[in-house]
Amino acid sequence: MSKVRNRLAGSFRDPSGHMIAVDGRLLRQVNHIYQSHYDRFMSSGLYADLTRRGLLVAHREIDIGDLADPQAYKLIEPELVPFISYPYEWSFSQLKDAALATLEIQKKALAQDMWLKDASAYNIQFIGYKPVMIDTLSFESYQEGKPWVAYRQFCQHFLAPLALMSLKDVRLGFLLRDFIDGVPLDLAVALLPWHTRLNPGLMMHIHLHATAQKRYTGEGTVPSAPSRQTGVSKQGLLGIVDSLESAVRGMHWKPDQTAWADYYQGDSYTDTGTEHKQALVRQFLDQSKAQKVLDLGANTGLYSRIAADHGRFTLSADFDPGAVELNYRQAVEQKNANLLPLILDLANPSPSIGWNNTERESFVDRCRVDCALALALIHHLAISNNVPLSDVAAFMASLTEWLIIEFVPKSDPKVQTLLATREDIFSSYTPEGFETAFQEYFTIIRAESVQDSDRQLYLMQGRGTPPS
Amino acid sequence: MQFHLSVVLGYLDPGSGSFIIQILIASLLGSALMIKAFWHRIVGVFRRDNPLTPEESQDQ
Repeated sequence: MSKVRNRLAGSFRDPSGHMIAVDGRLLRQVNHIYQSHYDRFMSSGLYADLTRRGLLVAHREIDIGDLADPQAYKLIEPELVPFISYPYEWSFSQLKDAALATLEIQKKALAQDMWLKDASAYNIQFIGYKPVMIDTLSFESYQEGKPWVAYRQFCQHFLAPLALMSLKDVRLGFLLRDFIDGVPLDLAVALLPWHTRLNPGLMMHIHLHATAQKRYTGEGTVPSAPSRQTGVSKQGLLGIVDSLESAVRGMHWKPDQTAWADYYQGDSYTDTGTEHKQALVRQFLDQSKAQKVLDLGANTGLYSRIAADHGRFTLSADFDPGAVELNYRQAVEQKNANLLPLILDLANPSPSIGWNNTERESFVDRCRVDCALALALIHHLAISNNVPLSDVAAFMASLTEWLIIEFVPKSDPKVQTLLATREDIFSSYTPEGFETAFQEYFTIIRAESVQDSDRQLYLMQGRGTPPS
Repeated sequence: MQFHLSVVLGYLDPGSGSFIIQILIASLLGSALMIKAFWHRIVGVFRRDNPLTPEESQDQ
């Protein structure tokens, strides 16, 4: 009986190969067209060097078996990353570190007379705090004299959004969600402050680059052959890569640290209450035996770390780019390999984008965890965003089997603040209404009052596997 | 001589303008890198407390 093979929807651009799902395993097909580059990549020592440094996912070659595709040269099984995230879900420093990893890989490749034929931000994923390339087929033999084919892609995927986030507004990183091929350089020029023309790197790689694009659009030819004499020498190319690296390193963004440092002090808990809540979360997580955890509304990741510190892979999601930035910096500092901070607005989670709306999956399609934490979150969804409690319950049930959720009653000062400027139209927002809504999808395993507060912490288990 | 981009490139469209800007800035940036490397070597001679960059240390 033949095996079930499906090419992944997002893997179609590069004829060198593509990802396929074979009986539940994710494999990468390498095509004959890429054979010489693949063999050189593997035999030159570049593959071994990059995987040893943690810059590229390792893979093993597997028996090509009865693969019917005549284009297929090899079949490889890459190590899987714990979660596929996208650049519009990364904080400023995550995008910056992904850019630097890409340039580092390009330099290592050039040292072996190879180079990157693409520089897509989607080729980088995070294993905990470390950016790692996942596209094994991005390398090809270097050709002396030829300009770097992925230069424009690097500038659009990394340099332009980083410049906009750093020098204009950090929320402009969300442009990557609208522009799947990266931020168009003419748009970046229109949005960037005038003084960025005085920055040599940004002047060349964004402003002049955009001018050249406009001048030569649609020509299909260049005035002279980029040969060894008239093109880009290897030294010149190394200079371009070094200049891009300096431009990226020179960009900084600092969130308002105090606003978030104060957050946990101002979360309406006493020290006793906080300690009790942490102890309950720890107990509930142990009881769930979860291996993969999603912390929704994680802020800077205090409770995510309780999950991650016990070896559980934890997605630590928050809508605020500043909180996620601080969370990521702390993860880097602690070398936390189990924690992945991400920007996620629960009221508007990442949609499916790209060709046929399937090239990049929505957050909900990518995310299935053993246990979700929803602490101090329900009032933001149900009151600030008017989401009915039953809809919140159905959403949670689509993501997770186990749920650790805190109910914040109307008597709580945080809810009082939310209701201070609007009419209270939330008659079912009571502990009873909350339990009724969630019991449609979950069984309540434990319910504990958090000390020194009116809040309740619940451990719930899903009633069944949600429809896929 | 005209040079058709599609003949020599992979699956990405590099953009004519993105090609030309590289040709224009490559010599300048290549020379700048050479001067930078030379300067680091000079500075390195006088900085004996930290003779290796982190990269070089990792390579060993």
